[in-house]
Amino acid sequence: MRVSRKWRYLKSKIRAGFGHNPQDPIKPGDLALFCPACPQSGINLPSNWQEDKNQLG
Amino acid sequence: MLCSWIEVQDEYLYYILSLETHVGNWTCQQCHNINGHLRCKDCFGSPILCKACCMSVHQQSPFHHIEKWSSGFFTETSLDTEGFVLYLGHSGAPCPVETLIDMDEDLELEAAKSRVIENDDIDMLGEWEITNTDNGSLTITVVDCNGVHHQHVRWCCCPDAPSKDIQLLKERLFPASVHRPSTAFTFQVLDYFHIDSVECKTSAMNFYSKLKHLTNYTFPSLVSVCSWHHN
Repeated sequence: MRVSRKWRYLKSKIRAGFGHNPQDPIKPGDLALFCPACPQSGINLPSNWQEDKNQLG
Repeated sequence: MLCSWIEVQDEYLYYILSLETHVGNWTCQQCHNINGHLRCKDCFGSPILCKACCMSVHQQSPFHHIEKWSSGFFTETSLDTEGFVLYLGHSGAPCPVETLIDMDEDLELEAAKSRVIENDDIDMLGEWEITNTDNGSLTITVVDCNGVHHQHVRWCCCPDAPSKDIQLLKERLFPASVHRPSTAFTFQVLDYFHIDSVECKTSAMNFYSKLKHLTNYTFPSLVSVCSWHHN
């Protein structure tokens, strides 16, 4: 179990581009996968979304 | 225990990444004559092999995954793409009768085609007959523990050769159909699925989904269930 978690961690480091520069500090969220469905300001969300008066809440 | 691993994890990462390329000379590690550009991921040691050696080495292990060096990196390929032929009936070696028949094969194929056209019967069966004369070859789908493979097979054409389904059985491949088999399962995958279903409660659908992901992790839905559905 421990080895499988180590393997997954090393694989996600390679996937996120930390394989060749292991000294780079890994910040929180660096190893997370990009989700194209999540709202991204300026991509699938207007960049002034915070000023939208009609937004919920 | 974990603390000692954290100290060496960068070193581990370096060695895992260094396996992506090949360091050293590119001479074929089997014949030592010419440079090789193929590498088998499933053979122990992943030796660099030239095309001829790769084909001869895999006569006894035809369901291995191989990689090809193409301008700067290894890319996945398959034995079938590189021209591998699975010979049945003679422990992986070509049928001795085949070489004699090869000379007449073109003529027979032409004859078979004209027969079908005369009968105006170009349906699925007709096409199958054209590509599957007794001495002809066929691409069949073989399901193994490490994924779904497409293999070019040459049937045994000795005078006392058994039927095609029996030829597959003799090579430990379970044919999916009795007549005109074009899909087969290795005995290993059948045993593996049996244990998996009894011990891990794996359903057949989940197991096949697993095999599809092993075959093509990016596009598992492209993995076909038989040669006729293969695009």
